[in-house]
Amino acid sequence: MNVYNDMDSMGYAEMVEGCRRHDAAAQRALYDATAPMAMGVCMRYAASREDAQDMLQDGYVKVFERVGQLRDSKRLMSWVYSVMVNNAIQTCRHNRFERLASDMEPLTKPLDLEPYLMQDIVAAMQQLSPRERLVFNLFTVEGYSVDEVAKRTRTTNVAVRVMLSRAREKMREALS
Amino acid sequence: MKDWKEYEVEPDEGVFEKVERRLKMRRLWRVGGWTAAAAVVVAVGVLVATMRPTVPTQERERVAEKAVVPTMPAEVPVVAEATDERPETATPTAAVLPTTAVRETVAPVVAATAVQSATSEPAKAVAETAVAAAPVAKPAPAPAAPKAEAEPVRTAGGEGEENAVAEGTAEVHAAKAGEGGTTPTVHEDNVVWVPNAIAPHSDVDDVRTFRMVFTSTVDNFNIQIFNRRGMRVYSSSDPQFQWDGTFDGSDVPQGAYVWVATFRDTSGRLRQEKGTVTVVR
Repeated sequence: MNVYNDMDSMGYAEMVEGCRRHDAAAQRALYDATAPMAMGVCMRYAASREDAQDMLQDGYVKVFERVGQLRDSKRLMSWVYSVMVNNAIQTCRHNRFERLASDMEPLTKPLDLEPYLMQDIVAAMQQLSPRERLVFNLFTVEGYSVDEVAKRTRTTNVAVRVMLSRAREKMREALS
Repeated sequence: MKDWKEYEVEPDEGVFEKVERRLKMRRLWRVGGWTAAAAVVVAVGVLVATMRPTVPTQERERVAEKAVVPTMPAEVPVVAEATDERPETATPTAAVLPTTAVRETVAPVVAATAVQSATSEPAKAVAETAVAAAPVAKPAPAPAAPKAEAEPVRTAGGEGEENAVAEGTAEVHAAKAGEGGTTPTVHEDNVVWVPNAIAPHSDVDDVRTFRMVFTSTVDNFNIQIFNRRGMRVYSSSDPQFQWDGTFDGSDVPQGAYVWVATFRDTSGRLRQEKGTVTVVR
């Protein structure tokens, strides 16, 4: 049975240490402990479950190659989460930009996601275009500002606002 | 407020195994690269030693007289030399993937001198990766094309900084071996410029930090710098990074360091470049 099953920080420490030594059992344990959360992240950023699993794979290759950068093993979950998000950004950043309608579109009303179930929200997200989905996630879920989103996706503030507005409209439509 | 870390979805079976396989391949690629390159160093070194015994001496003299003290801004002579030996300059930034193998010409000489250099195994191996990727007797066309495209890079870079370093005969040899001066390398989609030496405490701004210059945006960027014992002293995923020759806040010892950069170029291909950078104090 899995030696690392208990989730306290001691277990994490052993997991991380083992992964630094490229120990396969430790890697498996780390994966088992973090995969459902990581898959959840990928499901939000990807267009489909298949794309999400590809993104998950890429993400874990990065996780295991960079595990040496994790100083505090107690922060394992947060760290894996951020590696997954950054991987998602890098993967999705490639997508071409849709043509922007106008230069100065005002931001539409914020969409309150509280009333909805996460799985419904994610299902609605999969109906957005890749760019809209990326921007919507970074702004609404990760909580980045428009400026930060623009910087991380390497576009302009205007583009981000346009994507965000479109995403909100589509989400509103899909969730109602 | 929703805690999205609690949103969990079970992935399919088999994902972990795929990840393990990829990690193994990547490790083999790295190790294989070094050993293959090392094997070629020996082979080519022997070949050159029997074919062109005089060249190394001549080159050595040329470089010796043009060796520049790190802080000296007057590196024009080295520039001239670098352009002459432009193909060699490609050596430090050789691609591991054999497809981008257009850089060799005087590479054999590089091999010969590099064998004698005091740089570490990986550094040597890196220098010969380009050789591994191309046959020994690569003709002149290579210099012509890269040269033309290198010019805009230098001006685009704005400074045309050359970081010729000469410290001891070993480094002089290395400098001769295509590592003296600028090392622009022409790739199909991005032109990359990296210094091959830095002097962090120099008066001259341009030679203080190690960085890479691209002609177009790159994605999925990651660079790591290692010392001779394989310990990582720096890493970054920002293409605009600058390494000031420190590790954990303190200056690293003078010497040769290996850098490995991976990125996706404008044609979408995943590329890996390697090179050495000498830190001069």
